[in-house]
Amino acid sequence: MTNQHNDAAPWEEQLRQGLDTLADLGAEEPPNLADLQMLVVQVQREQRQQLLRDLSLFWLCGLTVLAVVFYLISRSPAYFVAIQGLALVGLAATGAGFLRSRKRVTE
Amino acid sequence: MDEVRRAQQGDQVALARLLQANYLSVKKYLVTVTMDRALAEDLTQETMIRAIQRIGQYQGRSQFSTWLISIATHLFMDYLRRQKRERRFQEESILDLPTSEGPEPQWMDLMEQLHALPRDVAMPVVLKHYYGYTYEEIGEWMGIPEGTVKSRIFNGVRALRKGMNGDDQSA
Repeated sequence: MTNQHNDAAPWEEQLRQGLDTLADLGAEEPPNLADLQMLVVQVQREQRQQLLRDLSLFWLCGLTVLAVVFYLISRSPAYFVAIQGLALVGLAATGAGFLRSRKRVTE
Repeated sequence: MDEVRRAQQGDQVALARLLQANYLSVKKYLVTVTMDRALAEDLTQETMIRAIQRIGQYQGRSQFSTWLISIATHLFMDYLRRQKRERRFQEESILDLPTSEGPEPQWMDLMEQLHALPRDVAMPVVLKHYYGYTYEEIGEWMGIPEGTVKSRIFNGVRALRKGMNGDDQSA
């Protein structure tokens, strides 16, 4: 941080004096090293747990989708084809809607 | 810089030491922009937590203290957005500056003027005219274009000068 004190205009000088005084209000002792180290350990532990939770959820969703797909292919291929067809139709409809709205904006 | 690298490689003591070395400068910065000691304390703590979470993303393009200031600024902006009641916030954060015996110093008026400004106007004024950061840096931290930073600073400074009863025409 670099304070601009050189050639300060009177109002800037007053600003500096006021903010210096104000900043001194925050100039107490910093927390001791052990407390900060504990904070680091705790935050990093929580971060790891969060990552593990997110990864587990991701794998669970992925495995569920794959299980459903394999089940449909092996037991009722007709349903599988129908779902694929519906997904394609939905995708095409969304794409067409997007293109139509974009065209309307540019007109 | 070695300390930063060690912290990024997982050295928890190095990271704690870095945070301790910069703790007061972050807190002082937050006291000057929030003008609220309790809020500054909370935001300093949050800044430290955010820095621990994102230490891997620090690329060394600026000083470590500047990186922390940018995090603190983002957090304060988030706080203001969450509040959406900036007027109430300003009324609640009462400044109680310690002054010595005798006549009230001149800067006291200016501090009151600064305190009366909306925080998103006062903050760029402080960042530019007290800390000396560039318009670009301020804009990036506050999430606003450089031109907006300039106009807010212009308006803020004009309001401050006006509040000083025109006794500073030279600036």
